[in-house]
Amino acid sequence: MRFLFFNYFFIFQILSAEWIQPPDRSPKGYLVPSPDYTPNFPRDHGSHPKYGIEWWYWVGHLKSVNEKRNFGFQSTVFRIAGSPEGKIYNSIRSFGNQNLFLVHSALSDLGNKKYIHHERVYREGWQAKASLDNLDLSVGGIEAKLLTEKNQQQVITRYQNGDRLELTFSPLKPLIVFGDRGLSRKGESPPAVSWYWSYTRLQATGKLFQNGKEVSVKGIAWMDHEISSSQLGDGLEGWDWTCMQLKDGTEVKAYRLRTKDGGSDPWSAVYWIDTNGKTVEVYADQFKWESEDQWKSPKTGLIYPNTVRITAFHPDYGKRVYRIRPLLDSQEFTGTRSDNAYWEGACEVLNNEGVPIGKAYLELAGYGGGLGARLN
Amino acid sequence: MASLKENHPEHVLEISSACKSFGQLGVLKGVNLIIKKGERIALMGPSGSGKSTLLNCISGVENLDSGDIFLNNSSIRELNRSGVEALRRESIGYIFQSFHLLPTLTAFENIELPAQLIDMPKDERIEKVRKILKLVGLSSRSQHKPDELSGGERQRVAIARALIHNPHLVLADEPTGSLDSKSGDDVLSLLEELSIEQGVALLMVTHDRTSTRICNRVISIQDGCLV
Amino acid sequence: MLSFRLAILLLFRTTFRHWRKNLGSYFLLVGIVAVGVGAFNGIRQASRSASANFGLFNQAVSGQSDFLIESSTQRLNSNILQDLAQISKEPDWHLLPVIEGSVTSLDSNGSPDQQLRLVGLDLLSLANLPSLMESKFDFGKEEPNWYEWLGSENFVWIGSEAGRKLGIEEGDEISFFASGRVREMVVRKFIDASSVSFPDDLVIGDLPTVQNLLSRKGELNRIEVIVDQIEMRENLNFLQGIKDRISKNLPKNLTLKATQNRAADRASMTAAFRLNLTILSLIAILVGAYLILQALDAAVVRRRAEVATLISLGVNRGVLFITFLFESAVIGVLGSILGIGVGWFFAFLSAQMLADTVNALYFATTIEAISLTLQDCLFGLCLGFLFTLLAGWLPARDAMQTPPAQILSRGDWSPGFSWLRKSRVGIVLILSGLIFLVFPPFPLAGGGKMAIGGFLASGCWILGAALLSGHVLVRLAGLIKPYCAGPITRLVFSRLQDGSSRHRLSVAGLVVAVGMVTGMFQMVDSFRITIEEWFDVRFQADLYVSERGVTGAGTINGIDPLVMDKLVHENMVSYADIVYISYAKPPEGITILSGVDMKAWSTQIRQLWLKKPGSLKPVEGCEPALISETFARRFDLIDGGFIELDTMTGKKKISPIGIFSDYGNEFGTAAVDIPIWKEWTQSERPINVSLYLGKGSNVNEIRDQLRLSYPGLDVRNASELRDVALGIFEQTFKATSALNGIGLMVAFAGLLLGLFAIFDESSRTWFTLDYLGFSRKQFLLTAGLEGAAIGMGAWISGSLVGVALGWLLINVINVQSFGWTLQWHLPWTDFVIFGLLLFAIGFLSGVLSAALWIRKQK
Repeated sequence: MRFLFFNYFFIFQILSAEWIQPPDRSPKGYLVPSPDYTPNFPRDHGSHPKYGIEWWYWVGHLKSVNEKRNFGFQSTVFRIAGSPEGKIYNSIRSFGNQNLFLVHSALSDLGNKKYIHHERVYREGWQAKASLDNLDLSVGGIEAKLLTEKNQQQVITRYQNGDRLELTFSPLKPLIVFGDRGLSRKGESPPAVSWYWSYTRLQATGKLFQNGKEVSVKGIAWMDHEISSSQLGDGLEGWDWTCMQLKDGTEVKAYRLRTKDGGSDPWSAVYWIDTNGKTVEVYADQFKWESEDQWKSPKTGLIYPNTVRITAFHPDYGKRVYRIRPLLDSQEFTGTRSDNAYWEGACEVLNNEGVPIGKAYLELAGYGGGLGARLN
Repeated sequence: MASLKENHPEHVLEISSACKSFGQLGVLKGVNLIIKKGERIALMGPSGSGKSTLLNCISGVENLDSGDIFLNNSSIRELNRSGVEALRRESIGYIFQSFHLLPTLTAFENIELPAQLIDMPKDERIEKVRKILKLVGLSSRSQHKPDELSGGERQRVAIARALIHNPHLVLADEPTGSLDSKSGDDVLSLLEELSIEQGVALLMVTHDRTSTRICNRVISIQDGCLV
Repeated sequence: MLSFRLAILLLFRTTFRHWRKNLGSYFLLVGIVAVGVGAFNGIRQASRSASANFGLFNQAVSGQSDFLIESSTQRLNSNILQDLAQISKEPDWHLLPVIEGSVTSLDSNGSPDQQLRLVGLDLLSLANLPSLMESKFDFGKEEPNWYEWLGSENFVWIGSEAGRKLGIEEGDEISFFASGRVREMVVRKFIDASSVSFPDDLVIGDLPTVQNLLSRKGELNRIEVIVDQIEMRENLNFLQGIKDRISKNLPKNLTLKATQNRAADRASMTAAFRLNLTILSLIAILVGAYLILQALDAAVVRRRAEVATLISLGVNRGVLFITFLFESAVIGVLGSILGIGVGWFFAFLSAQMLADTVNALYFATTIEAISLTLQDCLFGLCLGFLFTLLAGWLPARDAMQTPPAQILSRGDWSPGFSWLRKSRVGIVLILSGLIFLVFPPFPLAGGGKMAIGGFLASGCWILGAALLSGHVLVRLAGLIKPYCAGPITRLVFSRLQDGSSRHRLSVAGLVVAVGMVTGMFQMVDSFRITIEEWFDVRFQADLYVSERGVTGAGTINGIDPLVMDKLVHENMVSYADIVYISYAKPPEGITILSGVDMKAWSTQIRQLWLKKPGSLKPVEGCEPALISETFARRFDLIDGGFIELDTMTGKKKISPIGIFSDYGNEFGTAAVDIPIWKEWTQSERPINVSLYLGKGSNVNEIRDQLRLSYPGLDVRNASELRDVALGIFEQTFKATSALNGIGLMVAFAGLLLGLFAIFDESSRTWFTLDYLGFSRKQFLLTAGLEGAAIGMGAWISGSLVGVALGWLLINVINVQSFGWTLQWHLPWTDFVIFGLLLFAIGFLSGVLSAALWIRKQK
């Protein structure tokens, strides 16, 4: 019995020119995120079980304090609700039957060219808990909570062989609420909306416990928290997504939705976040996502176009070219089901001249063929 | 099939045209022989001439291929197994070269056995065994087992055993073959004495010419034929 | 080298040519070795197969686990999981809570149909298990609809084969008894278990669902630990590292141990039981070896002249020795190879029987497929080879010592084994047996004890009796012979009185078997009678109520406390003696902690008291307890004292105030007052209750009434309970009787072989008798009588040693191994029937071997 909720991992946000009023409830009966909602923190850092899907996502680049070692990390917790009409047969707190949680944890040891990762699925209960009032998650090997000071978050991720990454994140920019009237749109279907809140630049400090040794690390991280209740549209094969944190203090988020015919969905987009946290965005017709090189996984045999050239037209500054190169080829995440494998890893960003201008995390999903089938 | 044969009450044994072969090898080739009451016959011949086979056929231990053997005028061939067994029990006494006493029985018991087999009444039997033990000169050794007796003594027990049930015919197969000449002599004398006393016919196979002294008649067998 | 080649030459030129003449005997001999090796190997395999699983039924689904987290009581509360949450965060392992229980399905008429194992697992977290990914175990296309069945009220999964057996389809309901209630479960889907071995009696459900179905909310049996990197399992350092990391954060009242230790632990608890079986199975080999000795000795005697000639020709005596050893080795190897096959067959026949016994007596277990390992093959081969070689040793030495001159001059006279004629060895053996009796029992790993002195004594006595039995036979024959007037009886008894080695060996071989069998007779009989008497004293209540559909000591759910509460408050009940039990951990092994109404037990409830309540003074600071005799002997508390037991709430000291007889289990039971039991075990769940009804009540009417009101409970009156208990008792002796049977068969085969050799050697006697006019009927009668007389001789000697063995089993071995005092009882009729049987079989064997001899002469 394997559960793949991976298909919810990326929920597309498309800014449409025309306002489409979302319904109160999704066809399945879950609440749909409402427009003009002002998130109430810390409450809204917590779980929203009345909504169908939710996740907390942290990625980032770390350096050891002596600057000799570089790491990338991904720590993700997903929550998936069952049927809202589902009967609660057991009120026993150890074995709930209303929500599932997944964890995806990965650590890229860039100097040693080592990538470790694992996936776990749990029911809400003794192994998976999420607070309703605050950021307080404990799902398998990932624990996350809000510290009392300055909106700091503490995230602990456990890896194999007893390794552990303990990080404290301090926001360097305010929280960003993506989308029109506080709703990030995922498609034309009225309920296809989400609340999408991100910290695009977090100062990360902490410790990596590896092979029984302790390494102090620091770096820059990115955090998403998204809540929705809607399914995805037809005709998609997968998606490519990246978040770039540039040296000039700005961030770029870009994604394209790959259609089965090999093209990009019109709701594919690029966002620029300036040093003050202000965002501008363009859509599919204003940017190109091209593959410059690819890597074949020796484990799954899948081919990932993990060297990317993004050419986009900034409404204010005109053409921008971002070349994304993996810092390690083998950053393939194979879950419990091999046809759901995806590539997600630490990359560097170069400008058109080949000069490094920042760091990125790149996600390439749906190259195994399993995803396309599951999206429908 | 009843044999057409004249009844001669004085004939103890009558062998007519007895043939016996083992595979290709003809052992008896038309043997004819008549032994009358009280007659003592020595049967001589080289090794393999068919002496022992002839004795075995007479006692019914082996069957003839053709011809017939009549014991007290009844045909052995016409008897079934139990008939032959009964004939042996009642009419024949057997003496072996190597005594063949039952090792676990005493001299007395060994002698008594044939009498028991013909259901001789106990008193008569015991009386008879005692008497014959006296005759063979072994009264004092009656409770000894064969391995406690000398060769000559053993053969004397064997002779007593062969005669206890008043057989008509005693078959003796080299009775002195395992004995020294002194014991052999004693045994022969005893055999002669008892057979005369009981009027029993004796057919004795022997190698030894001197043994023939107790016999009325000596016949030779050569290549399966009496000569 | 030359002598080796010469030995081989002799083997082919002489030995095998002799074999050709006696092909039947040698076949029988090889067959006997095969049965001996087979019995031993079969028991080994069967008990391995029956105890391989010891209750970890979930592993059919979840795969092999590496460690178990358990409590001393073998029960856990789900709340404990909150304390384990921290440990469960590590991705290096998976924690798998398990609840399991036995339930009985009902057929369409509502009567009990099949015993099922209901196992609850967190079905969702199974998805994380590495083995599951390998086995492609699949619940079907259920995944996207997880919320429809996860934690449902009554959805379960069964194998399609089980579905067929129960005659149900997917979506059908199965009614069953559990915890004193009738419940229903719904088969959601059949499991396509084509690639995994999914037991037919296994029912899988989500953990909270199964807790609900068993009426055991919030309960767990254990938590299994499965390492994530299963390819590292073989690495002991890796496993130790994992163990250390888990142990560091483990709550105090829980224990962590390697899963294979559980099987080993439980195996060690059933060690005494299996040891008994192994010893019994060795008898077949011993008797077999004895027969080989006998047969080879006969061969030596038969070939004495030939050997003498060879020696005269200058053949080295060593070569002759080797040749005869070779001969036994060939028999050993052929027999052992055959025995491996026979063993597999025996194992196949007996595995279920053993599993039933283990289930009834000890723990829940199922049988795994009988496996034949290389180790089994080698073990079987070595065992057969070794024993036959040992058996061949003496005859080979005997052959070697053949003096040429003596033999040639004295014909076929054979001295046989002179030591068989010496009674000294036998007497020394019997005396040493007496000395072994004072040996203290040897403690076993699982807390059991092995009556080493008892076993050694029994070995000595059997051997001693076997050696002396020849003398007994000779003496008896000597006594009888003067009264024998007929030629047949005189012949028979004179031969027996003469007492050839062959006769002595034949009777000795049989004595071993007879001694063992009659010894076991007494034990089983004494056991039955003691238990019956115990029943009569102990069970004075009117009705006995327990969970329905669960037999034996396997997985007991107990009775739902709510059901019990309702039952005991029925107005016809004047007093209810409720009993609670749970496992508890003494310093060694495991034992049973019981909760009873101490006041009533000390004053009103009748027991067979070994020490009356109050006759022992409790140690201060300890909880006063009534303990069973087994418990008292196991922990040395016969004269009082105290012992510390590990319970759910920590270590507790108990001290006996009285000792009662109990034949229910061999772990021992300590009973404390009910409130104390509840506090210590954190459980409210009773196991059974004895009901005392008001005066003048119609017991059977009330029984029927209760049966209607409580269909999930077994309500029995005293005599019904007695029948059930005796049924379990019979079950436990099934394997023992089967082995006894095999031992006897081998002994009878040996008797046949021995008699044949005897007649063969007496050929001269028979020829002489033939000349004297001894009829065939008389010959067969003589042979039959000789066989029967040997049988009777063996019966007399064997029964004598059997009585001694019975005494030993009951008063030494049982007391030391199991802590049970039994009343020694001699089952006279069984003895007599057995004697008649021996007479008949001896007679038949004699006739048969004489007939064979006659056929051979032709």
